Amino acid sequence: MSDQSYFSEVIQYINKLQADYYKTPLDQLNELGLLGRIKLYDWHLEFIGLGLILTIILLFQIGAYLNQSKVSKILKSLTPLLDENFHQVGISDEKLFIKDSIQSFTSYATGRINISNLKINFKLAPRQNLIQYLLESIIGIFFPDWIEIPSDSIEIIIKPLNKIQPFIFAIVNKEGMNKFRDDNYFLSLTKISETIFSNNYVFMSESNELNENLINKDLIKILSDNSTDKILKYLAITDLPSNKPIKESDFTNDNNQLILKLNLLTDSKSLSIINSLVDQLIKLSDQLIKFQLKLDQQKKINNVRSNELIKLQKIIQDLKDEELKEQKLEIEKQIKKNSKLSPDELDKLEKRQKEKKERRQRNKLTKREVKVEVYEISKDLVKADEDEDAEFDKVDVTWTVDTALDPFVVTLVVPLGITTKVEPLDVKVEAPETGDEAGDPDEDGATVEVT
Amino acid sequence: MNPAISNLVIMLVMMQVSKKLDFENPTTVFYVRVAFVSATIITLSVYLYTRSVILKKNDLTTLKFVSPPNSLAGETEGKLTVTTVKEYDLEQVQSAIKGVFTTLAMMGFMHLYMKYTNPLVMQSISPVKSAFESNIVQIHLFGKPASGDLKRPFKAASLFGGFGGNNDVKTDKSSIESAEKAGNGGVKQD
Repeated sequence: MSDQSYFSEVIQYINKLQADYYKTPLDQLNELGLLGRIKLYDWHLEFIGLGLILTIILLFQIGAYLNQSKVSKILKSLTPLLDENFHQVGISDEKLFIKDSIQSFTSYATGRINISNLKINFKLAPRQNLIQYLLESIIGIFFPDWIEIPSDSIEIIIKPLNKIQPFIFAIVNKEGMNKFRDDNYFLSLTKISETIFSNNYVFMSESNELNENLINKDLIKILSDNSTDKILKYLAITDLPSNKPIKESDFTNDNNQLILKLNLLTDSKSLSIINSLVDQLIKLSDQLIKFQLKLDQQKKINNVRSNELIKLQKIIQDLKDEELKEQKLEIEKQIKKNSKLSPDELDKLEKRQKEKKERRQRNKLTKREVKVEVYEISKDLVKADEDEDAEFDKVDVTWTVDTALDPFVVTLVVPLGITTKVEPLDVKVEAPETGDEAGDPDEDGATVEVT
Repeated sequence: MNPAISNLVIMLVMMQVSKKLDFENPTTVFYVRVAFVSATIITLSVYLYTRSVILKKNDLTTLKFVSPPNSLAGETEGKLTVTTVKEYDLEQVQSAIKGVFTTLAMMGFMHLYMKYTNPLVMQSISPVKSAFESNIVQIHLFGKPASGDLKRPFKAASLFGGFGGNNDVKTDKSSIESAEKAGNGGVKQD
């Protein structure tokens, strides 16, 4: 069966349901009254539609609820640890997190030695939109470059209170490490080296000294756990931003931060791993205060920053140069175009441009309302051609003033057969020659140009 | 024998064969269809089996290489790719599997919509052949050591011998080290 006939069959079926109602003559319908009509009418279609709408709303709510419950679960498990460390946990006393959207949540903690603040960003899958969720999941499998398979992740960012030395150090999960380097500017500046403790991770850091000193037994123990590599994406300490700098200030601003990027899993084992990783991150911020790189290493690292800054400055300068060059080319093009014209055409062009300019200026002015005073036309101003003896003390005159036109055109509508030469009180009137149009008796109006 | 040459030979032979076949005859068409479908199933199962072997091996050895710059996208410097053997192999298998489905879609269009049966004959042989010849299957299915021609990253068989020899993936230490710290990540696209 083709689509067409299938579709028409559906329509036919729907019409059949309604047939009783539509067959009933109008006067009978009127007699039935409201209740009778409601009873007679077939409500199947409406109920199906309503059902669909309710299903969609329900699915949306369920998805939204699932997302939020995941966030609450994680935060609930983290609260004891955060309470122990921070004075304030949550956005305020009552509120643990902010719902930025159904797919993103933020939480916050502050008030601890060595730490300015701790921020937790949640990014969740579009569970509220089932169609989007399924579509992205399927397309993501076949075209991983275009669309990411929806997943849940948490990012925990600690901003240290004091200035720490600039360097980049990270422990990165091998799964997806290339993508992390593509996504994060700071990671793409580092050397990749193997770790001694696990085959699941690599170091991405600016110096081997960092790899040796910033890792401790507890952290190694957590990382050696086989379940951890399902959770940890990367743990990083950086002074440079995640987005590639486009302004010079991106380098000078204080970007120091400790980042922990995790997959969001909510089983009890994962929760305990997440807890211990956050614990390590907090401890790491204490460790950084005492940490000092060797002078030559630090110098090398500082050099990387100044070189990157120079690179950026060059790009900015190049862009500026290009823009200037383009402007110049534009002007040259215009001159070249104009030089091809004959003197006459050039004159015209100039005139047109001048007019354009004037009109533009005037258009700014014509916004004001124009008021025309009622006036009396004196007898000697009105020259009736044929009826020279006729006397006009007062002539009924209507005005229409079009100020947008150039010059202003005042249209006077005067009685039939009369051509006027009018001088309003405060504007000079240049009427067309009296004789020109006077002969036409059908003329029921004269156009007067007012300059 | 060089796969390119053997492909050519097979193509010529198959062209002669398909000339002899009577595509008006429904029985012939049926057998050609059976041949194509079974060839596709064989190809697909070879790749899927290879995939399961890769997942089972879970080889997390780090692999670094510098891919050539994409001159069409205006790139001047090569980009560093850091991955694991497992991830690299999976990517290869994935793209091969994608290729099977692309062929399937194309053949479906050509045969069912345009009513050509000819290409089915050709496509019953070459995908199976290229599946067994592919590097990834050679390594995991036949257990050949991943060295020499089978050393990762695999060399792309270039149709035009590579423009100026600039198209090669680089694995030497110095080019990796310079690309490693190039700082070209985190570019915001809008």
